[in-house]
Amino acid sequence: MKKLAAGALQLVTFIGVIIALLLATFLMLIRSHKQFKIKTNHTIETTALIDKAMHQLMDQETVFFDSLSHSLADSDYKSIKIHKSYWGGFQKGYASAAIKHTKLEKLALLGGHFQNTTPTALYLKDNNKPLVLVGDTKIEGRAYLPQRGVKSGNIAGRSYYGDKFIYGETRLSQRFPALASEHMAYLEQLSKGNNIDVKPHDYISLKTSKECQNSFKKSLKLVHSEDAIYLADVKLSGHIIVKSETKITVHQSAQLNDVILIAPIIEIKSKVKGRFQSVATEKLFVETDVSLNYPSSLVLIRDYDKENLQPHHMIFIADNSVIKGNILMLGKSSPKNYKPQIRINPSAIIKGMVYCEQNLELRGTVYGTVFTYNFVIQEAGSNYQNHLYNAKINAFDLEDQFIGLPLEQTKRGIAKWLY
Amino acid sequence: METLIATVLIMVIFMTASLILNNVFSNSMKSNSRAIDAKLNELEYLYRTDKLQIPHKDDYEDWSISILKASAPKMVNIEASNAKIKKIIEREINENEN
Repeated sequence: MKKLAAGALQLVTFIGVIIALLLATFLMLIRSHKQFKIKTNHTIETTALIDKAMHQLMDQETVFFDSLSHSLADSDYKSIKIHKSYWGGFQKGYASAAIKHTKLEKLALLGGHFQNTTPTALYLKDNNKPLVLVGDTKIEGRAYLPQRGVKSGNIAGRSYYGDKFIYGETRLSQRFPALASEHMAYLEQLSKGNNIDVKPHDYISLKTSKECQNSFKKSLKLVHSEDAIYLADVKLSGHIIVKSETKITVHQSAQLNDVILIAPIIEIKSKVKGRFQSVATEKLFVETDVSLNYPSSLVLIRDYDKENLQPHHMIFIADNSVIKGNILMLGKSSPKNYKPQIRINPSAIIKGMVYCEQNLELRGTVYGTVFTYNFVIQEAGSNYQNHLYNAKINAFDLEDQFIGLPLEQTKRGIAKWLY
Repeated sequence: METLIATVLIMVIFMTASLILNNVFSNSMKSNSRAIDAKLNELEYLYRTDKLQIPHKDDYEDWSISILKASAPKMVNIEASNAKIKKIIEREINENEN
C-alpha cells in the first residue's frame, strides 16, 4: 500500500515536470514570436518615418546645413534627422530615422518637380524685343513671351516655315523664374573652390589609384591640381570633386558617376559617356557624340564684361551629343552683349532644362524647358537678336517624372537616390 | 492519504497550466491589431489618392476612426479608438505625400 502511494506522488511529479517543460517551451516560442513581430513593426514604422522625414525635407524651401532633430507626437523613442545641402545644380537631401535600435538613412538628389503644371517650353525675358522665328523652328508647349510677342523673320533668304508660331498657349513673361539666391551663391563659391572643405587625408591622387568610390554618407574626397587634369582610364563615382586651377579634359575612357568637375576650362572629348556635373568659369566644351546621362549638369558662371573679353566665355555643345539634365549659364549680361554664351549645335539633343542669363544660340533640339534672357543667332556674318533658327523645343516629350532645376517656389522631387 | 495529495497536486498543476495558457492566448488576441491596421492603411491610401475627403469618420468593428487635419501645418491625423478594450491608435501623415 505504501509503495503504491509513493508511486502516485512520483507519477505526479513526473507529469508536473513534463507539463512545466512543455509550458516553458511554449511560452518561449510565443515570446520569441512577439519579439520578432515587434522588431518587424519597428522596421516598418521606421520606413514610414523616414518617408515622412524625406517629405518634410522636400517641403523645406531653404537649405540648412545643420542636422535638425524634429519633435514628433510620440517622440520619446522615435527620432528623425534631416539635413539639406547642395550638390552642383541640385540639392542633396539626407534623412535618417531611428526607432530604438532600428536606424535607417536615405540620401537623394533633389530638384524641382513640374508635374502638375502645364508643360512649359519657353520662358523668355521681356527685353522689349519680340521673339523672331526662322526656318524649321518649332515650339511646342506653353510659352512665356515678351510683350511684343512673336513674329516670323528671315535669315539669309530663309523664312519661317511653320503654320503657326507657338504650338501651345502663350502667356506674358513677367516674373522670370530664378534659382534661390543661396544656390547661386553656392555655385559661385563652388566655381572658385571656396566652399570645398576637405581634410588632408581626403585628398586622392589619380596617379596612384585609378579607381575611387566614395559614399555620399562619407566626407567629401577631392582630386586637386594646379595644372591641367586629363581624365583617362579612371573610374570615379560618388562624393568626389575633381578640381583644377586651369583645365580639365575628360577622355572617353573615363567613367565618371555623380562627381563634380570644377575648372575654368572643361573639355568633354568626343564619345564620352557618363553622369556627372561640370562647373566652369570660362569655357565648357562638349564635343561630338557625347552622352551625358540623367542627372547631369553643365554650369558656367561668368559676368559679361565687354572690355575683358579674352577669352570669350561659353558653353558649346557639338553635334550628335545628348545631354540629359540641366544646362546653366549664370552671370550678369550687358545690352552690348551680341555673342552667344551657350551654343547648341543643330543635331545636339538636350533633355531637361536650359537656363541662360545671357545669350543663347539654340539650333538643336530641347525636350523640356528653355529659360533665357535673350536668344542670338550668328549667321552669314551677322548677329540676329532674339532669333531662333531651326530650333526645336518640345515640352510634351519630357517625362512627367522629370526633376529639373530647383527653382524657387516649385515643388521638390527626388531626382536620384544616392548611396 | 498519498493518493489524495497526488490528486490535489495534479489538479493544481493542470489548473495553473490552463490559466497560464488562457492568459497568453487572451493577451495575444487582444493585442492583435492586424485588422484595424489594414483598415487604417486602406484609409491612408484612399486619402493619398484623393478618394477621401477630410474630415472623415468611420466605424470598423469595435473601432471608431476619425481623420482630421492636425494642429501642425500640412499634417493629417488618423485616430482609431476602441471603447471595449480601451485602446487608441494614432498616426500622423504628411498632407501632400503622393
